[in-house]
Amino acid sequence: MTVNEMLQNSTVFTCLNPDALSNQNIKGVFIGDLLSWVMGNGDEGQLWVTVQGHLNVAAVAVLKEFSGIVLCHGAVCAPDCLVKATEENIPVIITELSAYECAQHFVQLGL
Amino acid sequence: MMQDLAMTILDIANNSLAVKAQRIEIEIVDSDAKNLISIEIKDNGKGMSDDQIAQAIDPFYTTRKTRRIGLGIPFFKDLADLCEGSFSLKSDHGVQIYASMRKNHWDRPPMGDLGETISTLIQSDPDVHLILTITTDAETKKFDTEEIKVILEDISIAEPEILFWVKQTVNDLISS
Repeated sequence: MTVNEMLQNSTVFTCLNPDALSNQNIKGVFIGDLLSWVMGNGDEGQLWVTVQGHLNVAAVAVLKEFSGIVLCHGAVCAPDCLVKATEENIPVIITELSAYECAQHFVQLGL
Repeated sequence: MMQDLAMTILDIANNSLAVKAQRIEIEIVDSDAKNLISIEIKDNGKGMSDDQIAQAIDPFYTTRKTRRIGLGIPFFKDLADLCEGSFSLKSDHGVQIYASMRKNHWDRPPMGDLGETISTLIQSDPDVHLILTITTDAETKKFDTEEIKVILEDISIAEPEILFWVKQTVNDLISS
């Protein structure tokens, strides 16, 4: 499933930078907020669920080639993070769902 | 951010080794009275230009050719930002990098295995002169590789038994 298809199938997620949407294929989901841990354990193509929204998050997402960033639990995205993510074609998605609820949702979608 | 302070120190000090610094000073202040933990790492490497300093906290900047993004310094700054401390990066004959944290901040990582960090640095470059100082409210404790090398004479500090001793000695310094 692509990030775009995932968004079309959900009403609880909002993409902040639709310009960054292409055909990013979601190859699973990774949940974590400790950036070095995410660096060490995340895999290419995963959709990354976190509450951290600063510039380093965009850097980690680019480096790991994640398919997108989901800022859960109402976490906000810093302006510089959004600019950089958009430049690098990383969709940034916000939601009020908690990380656990995101996981439930993604399981239902078959991710 | 990294899961502990020792890993963060290893990452930053590795930058110093990468620019062929011969001397690295790691100064840790651990104070309950001031509710503060600070880490300063100073080297005598080739230093950084003003431009490089400005760019270094940008995670999309790195001096390495192989990877476009450098995260060591941004992660170090993360520590200070997240734990209500301060951060500075200066270059004056080498590089001086500093981050402080509120000791009782919820998000402050634990110290971690500092002995492992020091022994790993020595193993990477046995010739480097490494000076570690740990200042608590009661005292300042010091670990200096030159003092050990004088005692060792012809034996390399990078011998496995010596490194094992280094690791234990450093961790004893913290816990004592």
